[in-house]
Amino acid sequence: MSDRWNLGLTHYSRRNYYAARDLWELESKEVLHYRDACRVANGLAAAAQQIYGPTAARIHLERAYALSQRTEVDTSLRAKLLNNIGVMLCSLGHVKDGVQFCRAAFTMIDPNLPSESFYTLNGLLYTLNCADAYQEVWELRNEFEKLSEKVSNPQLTAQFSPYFYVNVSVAAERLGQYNEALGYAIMSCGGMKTSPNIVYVVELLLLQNRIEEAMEYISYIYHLCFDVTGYRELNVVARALEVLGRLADISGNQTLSKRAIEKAEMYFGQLGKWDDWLKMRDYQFGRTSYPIASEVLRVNDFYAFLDDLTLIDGMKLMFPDLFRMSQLATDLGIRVYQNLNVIEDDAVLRNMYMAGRLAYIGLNSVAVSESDAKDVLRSDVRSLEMTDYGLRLLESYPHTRSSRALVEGARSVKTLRENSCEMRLAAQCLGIAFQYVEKVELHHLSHDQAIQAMGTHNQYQPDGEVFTAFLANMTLDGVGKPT
Amino acid sequence: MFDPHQSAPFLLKVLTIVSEALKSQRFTIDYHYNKSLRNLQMMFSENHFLVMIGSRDELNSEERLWGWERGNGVSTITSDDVIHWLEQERKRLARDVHDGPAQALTNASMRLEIMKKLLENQQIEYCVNEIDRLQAILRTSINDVRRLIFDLRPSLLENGLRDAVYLYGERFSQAYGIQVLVHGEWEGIHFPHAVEVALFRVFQEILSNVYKHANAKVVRVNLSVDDSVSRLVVMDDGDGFESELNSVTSFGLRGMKERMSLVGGSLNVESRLGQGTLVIAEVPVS
Repeated sequence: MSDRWNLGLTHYSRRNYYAARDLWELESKEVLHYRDACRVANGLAAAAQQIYGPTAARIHLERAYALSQRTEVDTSLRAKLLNNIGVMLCSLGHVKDGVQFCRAAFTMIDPNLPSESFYTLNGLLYTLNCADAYQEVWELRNEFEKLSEKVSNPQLTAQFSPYFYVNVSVAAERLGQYNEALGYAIMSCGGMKTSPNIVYVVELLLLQNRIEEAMEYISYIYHLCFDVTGYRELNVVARALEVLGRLADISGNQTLSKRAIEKAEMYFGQLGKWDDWLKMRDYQFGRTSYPIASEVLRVNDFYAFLDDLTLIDGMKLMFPDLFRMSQLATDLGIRVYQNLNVIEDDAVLRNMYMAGRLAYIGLNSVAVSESDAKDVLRSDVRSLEMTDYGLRLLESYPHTRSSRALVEGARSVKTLRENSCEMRLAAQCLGIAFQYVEKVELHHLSHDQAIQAMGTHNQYQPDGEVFTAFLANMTLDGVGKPT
Repeated sequence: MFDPHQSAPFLLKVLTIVSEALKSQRFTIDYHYNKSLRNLQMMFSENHFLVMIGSRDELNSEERLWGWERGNGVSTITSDDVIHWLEQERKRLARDVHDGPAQALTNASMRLEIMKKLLENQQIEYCVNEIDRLQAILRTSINDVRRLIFDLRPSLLENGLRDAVYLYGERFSQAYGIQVLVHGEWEGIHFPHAVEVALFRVFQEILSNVYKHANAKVVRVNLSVDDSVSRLVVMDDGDGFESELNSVTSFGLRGMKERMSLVGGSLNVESRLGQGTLVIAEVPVS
């Protein structure tokens, strides 16, 4: 494959998905061999998945699949492709087809290719769980160890094991084997209490009435709740709500519990996870009682989290595309901030996540449709007005006080009133990230064009060190030369 | 700048509220618009209660008002006060709408999405159940909207003022980690609607001040009634303050005093630096 393909891979690995997309789109116009075209289409699907979601990825995957039928594509690539198609189909609700593709991928792969084997095994287990084929998943529970014996690289095993073990855990739980399920859930966390899979561990502890042990994980659940990754994985958010809702119910706070369980129910329904949806829909309150102090349950954080979700749900409903953009921009803003080598303060990061999610909340007041909203964001004047409306709304939510300053500062550096150095930098990191994403998505610039435009005439005018950190993240040479 | 021609609807509302509050008492209202000072002065002659509406700077420059010395039962409402109150009410209303009908409608939309998926998966029975649930949710939302439009009554007051104080105190405690201990009862007391809202809003404002300024750990609230007066007493163990006319804190307290006086009640504040703050809101027993 060409240098351009490899450059795209480097950008992809650094989560510069727009840059990877641009490079591979150019590549797709110039590749000569169907095999390479198939690989590029698969890459474009991966980038599209990250930027736009599974529906956009589907177009590229279908093209890749068609290409793979027309030529001798190596088995490894074909298996990966089938696996990707299977997982994508499952996430779009076509579960039976998804299982079929993933099963074909798994049986096709040479077990002596460990990376591809792990990859397709995980895809198969995921789709089997979606299809409620829990017994079949359970019967495959030893496959990972068998494959691991052939691998000398522990990092490779560690990369794939969380997905494997969490899928086996889910299957075991559905089959009523709670102890085994808990064991696999713990293994899926890889010893890290900050793993998103913590939610499965806590759920299983609660199902077994091991409430004291479940309570030890509360702070980690909240860490997950306020982490942007947690929100992008709606399944994780739903489970976090479920476990927090159960704990609130156990402690006697049924008002809080009902709010959380109802939200969890809706999120599971949106994901098509019907078993979980039914569990939440039919949840019976007040069956178990245990004294949990308000400060242990962190009730104020709980309310803040629920209020956040209320605001985000409304935003996501009205402007789904713009919400997706705001998530990408927030991810980027966090990475730029981390590039600045400041001491990472959890409170600043949490405020950045929150501000990023709510940056466009004012659109509810100034736009009636998504196309209208995009016009607002394209206008410097109207986007400032949008921010003002958003801030007015957020004033009704005291817990957003710190992140409001970031929301305002991210739109206009001149309004930055924060005296803390970390918050000023955080606001600028978000601002520059939003500026970049808006240039690419709303003004239809390529990655390179956006970087160049921001370098030559930057209305936002961030501090020099912020722009340098931004370039270090976005370009391979760190100075903004076109890739 | 105060302009009565543009503020006529507002004036009418003020007169209506005051009239309702004082309707059991005989009084006459006289008013005078001072063109040079551009403020409106209203006097309730029976109770020697003077209300002035205008900009703060202009009112502060007046030493004698219709022969009344400042401080002798003279109350002033500035246009800045009015704007502040309106803004506070707007925020509360925005929150009520956002937490109530807006959230319910968002949830309704999400449920419709779920129903669509259920239908795509041939889960007809579940879908029918979901429709029933959605209807119930929407009925509740319609009631919530009606309540907000016609009543503007805090939802917590549905079960009466006493329960509202207890519940709000608990919620505040949980939200901000400041213990709120509520004791006492208002046995056999039925407060008129305007009085309930005024007392509740004052209570909310007091707790808001505690959160913003007091640095307190505990707030004690006592509800009591004797022959002539129902009393809400709030005491915190915070930093206290020195009362100054133009401080932000006294600004909020002035608004609370006005709110109480409009319903025939009173509000007194005692505070010293380092010794916490005591607020007593009283209304006559009707």
